[in-house]
Amino acid sequence: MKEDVVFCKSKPFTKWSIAFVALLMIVVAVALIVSLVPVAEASIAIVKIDGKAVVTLRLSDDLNPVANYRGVIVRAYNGAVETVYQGQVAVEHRAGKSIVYPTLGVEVELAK
Amino acid sequence: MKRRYSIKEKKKLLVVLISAVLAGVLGYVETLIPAVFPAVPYLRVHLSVFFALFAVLAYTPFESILIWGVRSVVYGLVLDDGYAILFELAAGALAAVVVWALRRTRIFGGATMGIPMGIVYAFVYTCLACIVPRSAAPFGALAQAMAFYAVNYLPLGVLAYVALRYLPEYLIFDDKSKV
Repeated sequence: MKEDVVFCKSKPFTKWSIAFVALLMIVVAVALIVSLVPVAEASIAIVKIDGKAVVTLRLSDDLNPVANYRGVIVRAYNGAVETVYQGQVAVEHRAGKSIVYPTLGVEVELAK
Repeated sequence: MKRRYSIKEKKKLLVVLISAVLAGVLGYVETLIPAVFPAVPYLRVHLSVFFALFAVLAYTPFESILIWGVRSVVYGLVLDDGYAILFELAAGALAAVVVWALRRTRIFGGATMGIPMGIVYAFVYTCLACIVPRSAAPFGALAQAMAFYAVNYLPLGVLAYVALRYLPEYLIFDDKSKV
């Protein structure tokens, strides 16, 4: 236990930790810039079945159907109204159909 | 013969139990908080990790693993995913052991222990998420996850260090351990 208390009095930063923090900041800055650049487009159609929203995704050919995409531009068609989202799109491949969860800040309103 | 616990052990047990409960509550709260940037889903608020970091800096990895366990169960129940409990616990346990080992070597500063915690946690979680469902998809986001989890945990490590340094020692340690 004495060692623990000595640890509390130890340096908060060492040269290694400062180097790591600097490296981390560079990596994160690059990752943020890359994340905010759109990489592809996809279109989704929204249908209401049994009170639940079923959202299907049509991917462009260069997109892998099993992946997480960041910076994807999603064009949602709800009736005649087109809404364009940009953000994270998680895609799962289930029974030959692609289901998209337009998550993270994207709200989907259904036509009555 | 019935074992008698010392004041030191009782004090530690009390701190760890309170931390575990608070980590569970905050673990639930943070599932309600959306990502800071929608395009960067890994950049999130992880307040409950503060307690796990605090425990591994103050005591041993075992106390930290207990807190990770409570957090994992809460996460698993909220996400309704049994695998999430195992992944969280395994990733958190290994991260706690690595941080504890680094703490002993003193290569890393006490306030920046959140970085190795985040890197190891994201690495183990992503690897398990690839191995168990046998899908290589999560591996594509490994570097991004490691970098952003290190960023997520960095301020929590600073907070844990400040708490450990400035809280009265009799709250955390045995009275005899004062130096």
